[in-house]
Amino acid sequence: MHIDPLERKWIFVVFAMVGIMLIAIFFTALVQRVHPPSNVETIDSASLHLTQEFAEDNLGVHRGADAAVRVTMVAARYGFYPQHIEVPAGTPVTFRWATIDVLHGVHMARTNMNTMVVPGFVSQVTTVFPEPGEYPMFCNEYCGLGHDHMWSRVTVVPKDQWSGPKVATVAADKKGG
Amino acid sequence: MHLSEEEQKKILQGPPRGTWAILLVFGALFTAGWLAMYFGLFLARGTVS
Repeated sequence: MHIDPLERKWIFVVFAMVGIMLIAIFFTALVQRVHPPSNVETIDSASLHLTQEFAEDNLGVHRGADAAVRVTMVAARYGFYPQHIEVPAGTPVTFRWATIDVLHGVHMARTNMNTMVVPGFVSQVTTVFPEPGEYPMFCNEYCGLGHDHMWSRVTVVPKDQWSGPKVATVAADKKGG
Repeated sequence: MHLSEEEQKKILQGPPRGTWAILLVFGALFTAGWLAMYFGLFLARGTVS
């Protein structure tokens, strides 16, 4: 197959660039354990309110017996519930999401928090917020006419100023409640 | 700029320095930009798992 010498040069440069990117990705994946979130857990979206974990009174920020911060939230047209949460900076925070109706997406601006919330499944993402501040949380999967109004607020405060639960409110070995 | 035939022949038969310069500048800038985004922005925002 004939390849023009100029095209061959471009191919070489592009392969070199892709190679450097792949080395960086594999390095952080293997050494720093950076990888996409993965959690397969089913739930009956139609009876979400009857479950202990996703019942309205149990939504929000919890602390496990292992001192981990856990946030349980429900996505529903057109909002995230609870609509405002406060979490500590520099601490691993595990978010658990379920949708009561259709497919939603969760994107927290200025962070890497981004996941889909699929009916029938529990989405779980663990992340750390390095910087305190106000972070808006948007739905990034079109879910209906009110999609563009679907947003919520996350306040990240310095660890020593966090007023969340100091004692365990959920069992450590349980993913939920 | 007027080039003699000999000069033109020398340029046409010589290595494509300009092409290599463009390729390397593009490759270096693109790769540096990507690495800055990946390490300076993506990883700096905290990892997810």
